[in-house]
Amino acid sequence: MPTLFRPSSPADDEEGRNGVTLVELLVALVLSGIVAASVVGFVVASGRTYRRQTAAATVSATLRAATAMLPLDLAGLGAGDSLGSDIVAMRPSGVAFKATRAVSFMCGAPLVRGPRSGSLIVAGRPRYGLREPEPRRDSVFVYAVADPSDPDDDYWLRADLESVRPAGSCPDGSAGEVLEIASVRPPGGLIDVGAGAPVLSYEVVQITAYADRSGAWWLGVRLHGKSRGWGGIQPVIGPLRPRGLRFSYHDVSGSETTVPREVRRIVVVAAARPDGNPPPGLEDSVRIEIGLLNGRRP
Amino acid sequence: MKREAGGALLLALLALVIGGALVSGGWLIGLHELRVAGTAAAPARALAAAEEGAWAQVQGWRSAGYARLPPGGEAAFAGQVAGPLGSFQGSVRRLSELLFLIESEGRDPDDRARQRIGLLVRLQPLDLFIKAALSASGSVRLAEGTRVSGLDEVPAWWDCPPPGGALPGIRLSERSALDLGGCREEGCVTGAPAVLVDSVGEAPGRIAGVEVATLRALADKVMGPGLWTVGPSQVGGRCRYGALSNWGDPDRPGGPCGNYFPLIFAPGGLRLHGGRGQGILVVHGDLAVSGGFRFFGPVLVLGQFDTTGEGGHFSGGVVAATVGVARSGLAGRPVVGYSSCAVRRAVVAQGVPEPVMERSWMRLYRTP
Repeated sequence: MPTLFRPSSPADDEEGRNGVTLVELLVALVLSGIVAASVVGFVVASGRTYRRQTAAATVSATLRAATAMLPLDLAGLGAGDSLGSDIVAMRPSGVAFKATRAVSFMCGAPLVRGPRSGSLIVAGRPRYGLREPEPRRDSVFVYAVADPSDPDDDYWLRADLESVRPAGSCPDGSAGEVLEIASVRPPGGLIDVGAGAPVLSYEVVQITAYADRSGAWWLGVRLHGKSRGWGGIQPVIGPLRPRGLRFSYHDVSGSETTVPREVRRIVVVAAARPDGNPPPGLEDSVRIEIGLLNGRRP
Repeated sequence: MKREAGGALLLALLALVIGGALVSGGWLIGLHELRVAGTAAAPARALAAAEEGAWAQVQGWRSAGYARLPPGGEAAFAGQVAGPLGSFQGSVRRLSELLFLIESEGRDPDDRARQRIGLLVRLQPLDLFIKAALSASGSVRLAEGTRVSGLDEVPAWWDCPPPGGALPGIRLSERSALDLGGCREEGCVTGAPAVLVDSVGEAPGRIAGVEVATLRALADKVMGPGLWTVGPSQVGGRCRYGALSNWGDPDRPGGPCGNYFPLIFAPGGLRLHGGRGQGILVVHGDLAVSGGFRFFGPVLVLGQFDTTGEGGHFSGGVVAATVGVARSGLAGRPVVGYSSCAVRRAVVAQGVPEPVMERSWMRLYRTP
C-alpha cells in the first residue's frame, strides 16, 4: 500500500504501516467535511436564531413598554367630571387628555380679585409631581367644598395658570408660592376654596399612533401649549405594525361609548413589529385593559 | 503499542464547545427573559401594595384616630400585604377640617420596585338634625335667669369661621308645652324666631334624625351610671384618649386634647357635676347636670334634660324629650346656646372618610 507520509513511529515501521492510507485519508476528509458542514449549519442556524430572538425581544420590549406606560398615563383620568371630563378627545387611533403634572396644597384662603380671577398661595411642602407648574402649558384644578355637610356638592374648580412666583410665606410662616389664575370656571367658585385644598396643575397631552417619514409606525406623544396649540409629535414606543394601535372606550356596563364622561375603562390593543424587514411571524400584540380609578363615585 | 494519528478528538472537543456554548446561550436567554418578566411584574406588585396600604387606612380610620389630627398634622403607618406579597408605609396628613391626603408607598416582596400613590379623602360629617339651640318633643320648663340663644356663637379661643345665621332659640311641638317660669321670653330666649312651634317628634329609636343604635355603634366612650366629673386628661404632653372621663379640652383648642371630640354614649341615665367636655353627648335616658358643667357640641337626650345649680353651659345644640332648667345659685346662669362651629367640629370628628369626588387617586412623584 502506498503511503504519503513517513512512518510515525518505529512500531508502525515494524508492522509495515507507514503513515495513513489514502482510504483512511478520504474517510477522514469525508468525516471532517460532514462535521464542518454540521458546524457551519449550526453557526448559521444560531445566527438566524439570534436574529429572530433579538427581533422577538424587541417586539416584547415594545409591548412591555406599552403595557407599562399607558396605564401610568391613563389610569388616573377623571373622566366623569360633570364640569368637564379629563378626556379631551377620543378616537380609535389615540386619546387626548388632561395629564396631571404637579400636586400642591393651599396654605391659606385664596385672594379673590373677581369672579374669574385670583391668587392661590400653595405650600412649599408637601408637593409632588413630574415638574413644576408652567404657566405657558398648564391649567389648574382646585378642590372646592360648596357645602361641608354634603360631599356630593364638592367640585374641582378649573382655571388658567397665568404666573407662578415665590410667596413670602404661608400664614404658618413656611415658604410658599403664589399661583395667579384667571378664567375661573365656574365663575365665583373661589369662595368655595379654603386652606388645605389640593391644587393639580395639568397640561393637555395626546397619545396616538402615527407613521414617520420612513413609513414606520410609532406610538407618539405630543403636548398642547395654551397659545401655540399642538407641538410636534415624539415617538415613544415602537415600531408598531401599520395602524397597530387601537383604543376602545367602555362605560360602566362594559359597552363601547363615544361620550368622554361615560368612560370607565379604556382598552388598548398594541401590535408591535421588529425594525427593518424581519422574517414573517415575528409580530406580536398585547391587549391592555385600563380601569379608570378616578371615576365619579356612584 | 499502537498509536493512531488524526483529528477526531479535536473535532469532538470543538463540537462539545460549540454545543455547550449554544446550550449556555439558550439558558442565559431564558434566564434573562425570566428576570425581565420578574422585573416587569415587580412594579405591579408594588403598586398593589401601595393601594392596599392606602385603603387599609380608610377602613381602619376610627381605630387609628386620624380624625384627631389637627390641620397640617400627620400620622405615619406601615404594614405588610398578606402572603407576604409586599409591604407598605406612608402617612395620613390632614389638609383641612374635611380633607386628608393618604400617601402610601408600596414595595414588592423582593424590594425590586417601589410605587407611591396618593388618595384624597374627605370626611362626610355625621348628619345630625340640629335646628335650634334647644329642641324638645315634650315640655320645656325654664327658670328665671336662664338664657337660651339661637344666635350663632363662637366658643372662646376657638378658630372658627365667622358666625352664620341665627336659629330658633327653642323649637317644640306645642306652644303650650313651654313654661317660661320667671323668665321673660324677650330676655331669656333669643333666636330667629325666639320660639318656633314645629313638628319635633322623632320616630322611635331615633334622635336628631339618627338611629340611636348608629350613635351607640360610633361611641368612643360608653358611660356607666353614677355621678361623673369630667375634664381633659393628659400624660407627658399627650392626650389620654382612653380615659373615660376625658371628653376633650374646649378651653385649650391647641392643647393635646384640643382636637379630641369624642362621641359619648350613656346607655342609662347620666349625672354630671362640674367639669367640661366637647364632642357629641348622647344619653339614652335622663341627663342631670349640676355644678357649672360646660359642654361644646350637640347634646342628645332621649329622656329628661335637667340642669340645676350653678349654670350649666351648653354651646352647640340640645335635643331632648323634655327639658327642665332650674337655678338655685347666684354664681351663674344656665345657658343653652347654638354654635354652628361647635356642632360642626363634633360631627366632622365622627365623619366617615370617602375618596373625594373625582381625581381622588393619584400617583405621587417627589418634585425634582
